[in-house]
Amino acid sequence: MATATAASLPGASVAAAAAVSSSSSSPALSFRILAECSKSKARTSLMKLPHYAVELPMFMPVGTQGTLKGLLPEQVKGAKAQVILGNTYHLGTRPGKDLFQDFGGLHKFMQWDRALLTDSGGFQMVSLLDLAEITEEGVKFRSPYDGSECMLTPEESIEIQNAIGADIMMQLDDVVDVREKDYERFKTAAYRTTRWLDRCIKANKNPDRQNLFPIIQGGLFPDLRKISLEQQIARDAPGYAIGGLSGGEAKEKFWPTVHLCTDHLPKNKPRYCMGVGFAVDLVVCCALGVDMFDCVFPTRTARFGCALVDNGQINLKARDFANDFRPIDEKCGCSTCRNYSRAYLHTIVTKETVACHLLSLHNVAYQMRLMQSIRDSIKKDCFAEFVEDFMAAYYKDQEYPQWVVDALAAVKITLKK
Amino acid sequence: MKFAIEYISKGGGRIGRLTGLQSQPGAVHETPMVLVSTVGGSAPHLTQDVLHLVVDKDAPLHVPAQHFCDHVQVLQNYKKGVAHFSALQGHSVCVSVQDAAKATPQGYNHKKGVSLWTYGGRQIITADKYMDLMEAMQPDWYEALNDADPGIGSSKKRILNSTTSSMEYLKQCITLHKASQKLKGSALFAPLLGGRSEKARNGWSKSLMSTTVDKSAISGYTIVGLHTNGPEVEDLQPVNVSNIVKASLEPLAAELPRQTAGMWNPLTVLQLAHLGVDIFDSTFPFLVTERRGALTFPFRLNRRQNDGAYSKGSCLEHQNKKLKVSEDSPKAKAEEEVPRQDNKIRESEDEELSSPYEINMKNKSNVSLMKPLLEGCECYTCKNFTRAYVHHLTIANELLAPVLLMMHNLHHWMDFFSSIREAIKTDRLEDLQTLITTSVFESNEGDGLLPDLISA
Repeated sequence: MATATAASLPGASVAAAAAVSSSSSSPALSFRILAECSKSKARTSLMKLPHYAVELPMFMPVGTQGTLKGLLPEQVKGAKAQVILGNTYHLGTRPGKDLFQDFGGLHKFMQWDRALLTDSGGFQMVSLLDLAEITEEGVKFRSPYDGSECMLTPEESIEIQNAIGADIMMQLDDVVDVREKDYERFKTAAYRTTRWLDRCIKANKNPDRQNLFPIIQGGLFPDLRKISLEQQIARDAPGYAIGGLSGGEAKEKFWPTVHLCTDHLPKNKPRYCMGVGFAVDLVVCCALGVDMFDCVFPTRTARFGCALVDNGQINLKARDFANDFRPIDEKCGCSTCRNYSRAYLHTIVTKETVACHLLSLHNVAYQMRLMQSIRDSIKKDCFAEFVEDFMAAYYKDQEYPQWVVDALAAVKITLKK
Repeated sequence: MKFAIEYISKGGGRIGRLTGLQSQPGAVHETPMVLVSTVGGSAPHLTQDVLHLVVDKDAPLHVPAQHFCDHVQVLQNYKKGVAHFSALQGHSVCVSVQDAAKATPQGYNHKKGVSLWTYGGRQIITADKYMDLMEAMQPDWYEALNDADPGIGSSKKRILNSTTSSMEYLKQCITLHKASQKLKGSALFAPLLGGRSEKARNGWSKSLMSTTVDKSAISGYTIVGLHTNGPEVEDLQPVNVSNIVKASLEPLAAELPRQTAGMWNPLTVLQLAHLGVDIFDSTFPFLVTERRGALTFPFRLNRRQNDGAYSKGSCLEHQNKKLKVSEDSPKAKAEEEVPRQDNKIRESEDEELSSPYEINMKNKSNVSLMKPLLEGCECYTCKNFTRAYVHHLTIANELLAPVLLMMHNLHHWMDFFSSIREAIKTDRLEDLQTLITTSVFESNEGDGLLPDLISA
């Protein structure tokens, strides 16, 4: 498939024609900062990908197996999603890379004409498979289907990702559980991740239409993060990801790591913090200068009957909602909120799949609306005020967590109660 | 509600017009028609916006009372009725006592009331409580409370108990209906009962026409007690229902609409339409969706063909499947009993449960097929997605699989009914029956085991 030209490219129209690939050497991505916050590191930008011009900062819902939790592609678009994430491990196992080659990629297979991003498959292996073992060659694992021994190498990961055809591919990285204590293990992982990056770059057959993002590793150790940053940045890439976080680490360790990474990552390239999706984390990370996020949380929590709202989430199973004829959120314009009441949802949550679809749709729309508000406030240079209002609504009658106060203070946003 | 018979076909069946529904005074629904079956107020798997990609925004819904009897107070507080509550305002609503999609456990009804099975368990509902629920649900039409419990092989005594208590419920419902301001615009349908006994069914219908019942309150009939709901209904063949339905309908005034709920297979639907049944539901496509099948049986009659050589669907893949009932057919006829032996046939298939009217999307043969579920189908699923993708979703157990299959199956079912209406208008219902029989069961190669054709 030919790379879309600026003139025909769907998506954000903001100065689309004028946006110039000012930064990366990738013909498949152009990045332009539209506005910056005058206090914090937050910025809003336009990232043009082969299938869609994406406004950043943005959240990407996770569609693991080539579908987003029971929603039709047009419903996902209706919720204003710009990029869907697919999981290489799952898709490579089923339906498999040969099928994607026959079908001309995942876009066509699932009828999604906006952008796609695929992970490398490494994280899934380490987190899902008990038997995964990491060697210099790749990730060795036992197939959950037939018990045979398999190996996911950087080359194999890229081959699958090339077949899937996502706009952005992730390198295979050496993922270490962030709660691991062994410094040497993280050191090995940081260096190995760069060696694997070189192999991934070499293996990529479609650099003209598929971007490959390196991943910064180094756990919670600043010196290792710096080493990883230096090495990875030395490889010219269209964008960079901050990996190895959101694995259950203390928030007091999480935000300084992000802060350190965004301080060093090139300003003129998109930055992606992997696995982040709670509203507060999104707002804080935007303040720290991150542009892209993904998380299964919005769709996962929907399956348990939970809907995202300004002060967290509500569980529609609760009896309080039996006679509540309001929508989930009166300010939300999603098709669930335009049509359905909390009372009706209460009667079917966790019983009918329809409830699951309706809540997934709302929750994705909520994330999109939050990111839109962030972008708008940066453009109007009132991001700091937005953050204050957001936190005040979120922590209505509670104290602010210290880490939120600290993280925001680090970028000159002061929270007052 | 108004119902007018427009045409009675020489070839069997009738065309009617259903108008004057309280929720949609301007709408005209031509019969035989399908109601969109719902679970908990929604079409299974389909949110409102997705449902509207398949059916008209005024398509009538079928809402079983049992899904809402736990929510009477909520609906009373809400005041706008069950369609609006379920975000399907604009659609008219028919309420029945039981859910045709779920087998009704037997033996739980007694003199005090009828057992309804809710998400929370069993509720015994009296005529008073049932009518409170109707006032809260605000249906366009609804079935009077009844004890249609007697299953296959019920004793005469059980049938007698059922009709005795149901007559009592009917009279109570009529009295309460006439006294209710809120149900002024709703139409009441009387149940047609009598188990599987022709005599009992005929007797019941005669009693409806007698002076003991206030006929002015009755706007239509629902044929119940032919089965006890659930997936077993698809095994009922034309021969299993023909005579008992005839016995029910024979004494009745012809001008009122007749409805029957259930997961009827296409050939049995044709037989029921032939006998003059006007209103059906969409539980059969739901059943097919739940076992991850896609309906592919052909129903389009081309130009008039007199030689019996009918065009066959381009996408038939039933060659190795036999009509399940075919092996039991002679016995079924002899004993007037529902065939029960198909379990054996089902177990012997390595595929999952399936019927000759559908393809099984779990089947590996679909793994790399770029074609749609059904070539030439105009549904959203077939216009956008391949069999390979639907198969992938099915195997991966993704929620989108039943969404796409339900969209296709519901579309196919709706189209099947427009073909039925067309066939009745052109006196070709038998042609349609032959088309489906020969196409779907062609592997039988005229071995004499075809299901009974429409009886003359």
